[in-house]
Amino acid sequence: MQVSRDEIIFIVVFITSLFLVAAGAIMLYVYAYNRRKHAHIKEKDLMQENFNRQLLEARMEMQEQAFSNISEEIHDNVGQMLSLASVQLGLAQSKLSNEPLLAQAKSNIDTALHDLRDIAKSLNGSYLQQLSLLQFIHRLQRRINRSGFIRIETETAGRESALPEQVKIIVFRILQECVQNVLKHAAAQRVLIQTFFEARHIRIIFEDDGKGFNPEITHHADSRGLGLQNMRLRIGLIHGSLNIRSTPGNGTQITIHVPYE
Amino acid sequence: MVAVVVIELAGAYLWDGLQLSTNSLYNFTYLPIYFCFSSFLLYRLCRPLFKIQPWIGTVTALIVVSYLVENMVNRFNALSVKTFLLANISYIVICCCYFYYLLKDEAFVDIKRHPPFWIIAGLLFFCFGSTANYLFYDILKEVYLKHNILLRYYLMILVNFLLYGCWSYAFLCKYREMK
Repeated sequence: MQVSRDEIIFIVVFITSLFLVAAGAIMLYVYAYNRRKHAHIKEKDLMQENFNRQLLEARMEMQEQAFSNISEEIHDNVGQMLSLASVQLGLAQSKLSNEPLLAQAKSNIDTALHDLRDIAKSLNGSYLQQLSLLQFIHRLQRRINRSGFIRIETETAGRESALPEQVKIIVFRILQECVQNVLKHAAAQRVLIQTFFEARHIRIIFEDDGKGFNPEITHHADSRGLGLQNMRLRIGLIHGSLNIRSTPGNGTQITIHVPYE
Repeated sequence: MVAVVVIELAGAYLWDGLQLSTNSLYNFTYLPIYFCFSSFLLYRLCRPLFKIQPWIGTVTALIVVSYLVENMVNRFNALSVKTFLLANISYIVICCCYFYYLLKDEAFVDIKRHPPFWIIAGLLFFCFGSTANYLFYDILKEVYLKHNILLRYYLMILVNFLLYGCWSYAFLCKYREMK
């Protein structure tokens, strides 16, 4: 059978086109599959993020519950015992006609009782939720200044806007963690807490004049590393941000951004 | 690319100027360069994704044996079409393996901006297009000799256009990546 010139040309062009279309189809398939893969990876990441968030929320809830239990225990047991001891000392003092040693012991027990109640309140989430951010900061300032270890100063700019309760408790815990870190590691003399109420968010600058550290080489395993990691996780929960600036010997500055929504 | 341009110019000079066959020129310069360069390219680009060494080793050995046998049978006068086809089919398989492992890989890459993907894509187009072309090598040669129609020439232009188009885009992606 004789094949004409045009038929040969058609067959060759057709088969070449078919081969090229096959190559194009492979590319298209790879592209489509890759897009599906991307969507799947994004979905997986989102699920992982949600899982982490739920885990963190559960952890925080458990922690809050534990804090509340400890607070109740302090208030109901130790607090009651100290109150009783204070009353008994008062009675003893009146019977022994103003014995100075008894007066001093009563004064010490009253101070301890006061401090203990303060600690119990700072642990109790339900109580803290009744405070505004500024009230909390001033309470913290009073409590720490009374101890005499360090001096906390505060500055405020702008009009205070109320924060949702869940957000508030997270910010309070972060600030408590900051103070805890200063007391434990910084060897600071002075702490300055500046609060700026801005249009879309609250900016809190927590600054100390302590020995500072290198934030990049803080190990996750040590207590400060864990504390900082916890602070970052907590602020992430409320879509805020936390920036730490510190160099050895030059103190530490922690800037916290808390969005209103 | 420079080697290909020089060979093409030399081939044009031999054919148009001296009226000599270009088979030997392509056989002993273009084909070895094409085989070496393509194998090296595939080796470099596939290496991060899967163990390519045994594949490339086997393919290179097959190509060398086929090239020598075909040239001895043809007494070094005809173009090594069968070796070219064998090499192209092997390269297509390796390109498909690359795509498979790229998709299987857990890490996501945006293939629209991934230079190795476009290099392989260009090679795949070239191999597919030129395979079809070389399958009908004798018929196309006859068409040219009888009717003076340069069909193979035009098809190769199209295939080369796809190859260099993809490669140019790959270089553009690389340039953007480095910026």
